[in-house]
Amino acid sequence: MAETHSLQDLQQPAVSSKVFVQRDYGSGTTCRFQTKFPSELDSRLDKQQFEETIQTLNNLYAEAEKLGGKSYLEGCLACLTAYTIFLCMETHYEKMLKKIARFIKDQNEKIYAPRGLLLTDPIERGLRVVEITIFEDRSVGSGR
Amino acid sequence: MSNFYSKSSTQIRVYLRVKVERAHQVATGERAEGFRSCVCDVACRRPHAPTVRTPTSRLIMKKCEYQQIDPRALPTPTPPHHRGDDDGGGGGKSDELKRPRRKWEVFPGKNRFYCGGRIIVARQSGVLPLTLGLILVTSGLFFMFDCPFLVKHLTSCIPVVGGVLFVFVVITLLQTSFTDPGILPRATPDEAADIEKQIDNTGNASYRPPPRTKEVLINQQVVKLKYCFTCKMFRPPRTSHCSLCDNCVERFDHHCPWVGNCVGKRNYRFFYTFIVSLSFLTAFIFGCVTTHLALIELVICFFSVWSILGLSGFHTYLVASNLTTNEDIKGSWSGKSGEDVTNPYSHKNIFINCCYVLCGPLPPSLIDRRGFLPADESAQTSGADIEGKPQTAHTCPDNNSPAVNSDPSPELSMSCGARRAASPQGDGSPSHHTKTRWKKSKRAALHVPNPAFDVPVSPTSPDAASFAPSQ
Repeated sequence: MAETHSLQDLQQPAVSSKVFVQRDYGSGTTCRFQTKFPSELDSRLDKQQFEETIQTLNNLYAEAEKLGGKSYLEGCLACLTAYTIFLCMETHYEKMLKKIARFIKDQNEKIYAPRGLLLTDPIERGLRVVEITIFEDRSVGSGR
Repeated sequence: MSNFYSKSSTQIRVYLRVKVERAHQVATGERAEGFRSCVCDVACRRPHAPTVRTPTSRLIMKKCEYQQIDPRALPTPTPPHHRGDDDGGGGGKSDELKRPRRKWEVFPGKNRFYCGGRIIVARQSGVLPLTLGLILVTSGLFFMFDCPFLVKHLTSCIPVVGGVLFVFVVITLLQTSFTDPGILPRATPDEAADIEKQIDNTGNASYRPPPRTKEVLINQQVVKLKYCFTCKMFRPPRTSHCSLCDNCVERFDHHCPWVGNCVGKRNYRFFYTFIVSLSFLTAFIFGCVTTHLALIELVICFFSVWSILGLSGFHTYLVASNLTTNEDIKGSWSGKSGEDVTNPYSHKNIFINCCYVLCGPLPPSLIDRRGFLPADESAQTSGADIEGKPQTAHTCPDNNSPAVNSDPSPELSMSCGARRAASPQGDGSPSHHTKTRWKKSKRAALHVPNPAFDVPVSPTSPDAASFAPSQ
């Protein structure tokens, strides 16, 4: 039976466990997450799907922290105005974070919610981890 | 601050109402005399024997009893006249429980918040008032006395240049002081449990393991990440825990008492701009004043110029090599130990390093001060708040020290949050001691590491040190 699983439906069943995808510091302090597939998700999710999600997230964060002409221009302009421009302007990083939030919402609706999983935006965890909540199977089973 | 005051007056009203209510209940026989009624009725967390629950008392009951009530089993609806009675107290309390709380109100670190969480400062403002005072007084004297003389004899550009520099200095000083330096929010209980599980899996479970570290390879350099016992997470690289603010700060540089805040990833550029523009300003005023010979300004500027110029030079070196004061002091990348170590974060190019540190993208604050707490957490913490508030009026200073010195629970820290700034307990003597030390050593010693203010964590000791300001 085709059924759209809204997040409200999924929050009714109990949380079975949470998986934390840690940061990957191999290339310094830039925001990257490990693409290693957690074993707890074996039964629920494709490895490839997971890696694709994490890789896209990493790319989005890399773009937010990219050093390029645009970011330097923004920085120089801010410096000249004694950084008061930050009070009225949204920075490139903030725009990218909104884009990331939309991406995660989209991924949740299309891929993770139908499998009884929920991705939490890393910004809500201080960019330390990607938290994946695994819900109990019974509600998903009854829905399918 | 106004939030705090309105809450405490509400709590006092609730407290008094409870006392009156209980007396009435004893008089009418609803409650047996001799029932243990605490003075801290509303604040006490101990479960009391259940009483006859009138709608009135139900509304203003303390948190533990309130939780025992099953809302679905309420026998009668609340009579309207009781509701009317309680609008001042009970209505206020139910509003309190429903009011969504912002995250800054329950922030576990030792920070103070103003303007609804928009402005964040360290608990001790250090000598920020002195810094501001010195700048304002010196500049004020300059503009009032020297400028007219110099405009007459030289050029009218002088007050313009002086004015621009002065505005720059004040704005960047305030930004350094009031901006989140890059505080990392503490790990959620689930995260902490997950990390503990991983540590137990890899280590020996029969004894307490040594200070926990994790090694990562960053650009072919081995970097040790330390576990923070306060924040319950492995600190990211270049992050350090400031004991004065009780927070982990990203790219921690140092805790600066002159600006009354930590200097970290998010406010380093403001700090750098502040000291550079201040050195220009002091040099400018010094230069102008030597022509006019005003003694006070001369003395202040003479001492300031050398120390501020020295500090600016030091930080310019740090910026060019993408180092922090913390790393420079510890000699993390200087190769002291004989190994071939280089700074893995440097871009190997002075110009790129400068651009990255000063003009790179500014990450937003991770602590989301003005965000709202989720409804269930909000209800719990507001209940604890109502318990805690009447206590804080009398007992917070006593409770504060043990709360601060042990692992601070969010409830206690939140309930004492606004007060903690004023409470002299726990930090009184060390802050006075270090303040005296700083005033004696003057600005010339600013760049010299003071163990009281710099990174308190030694390489070997666990983060119990984070609770004591000085090693």
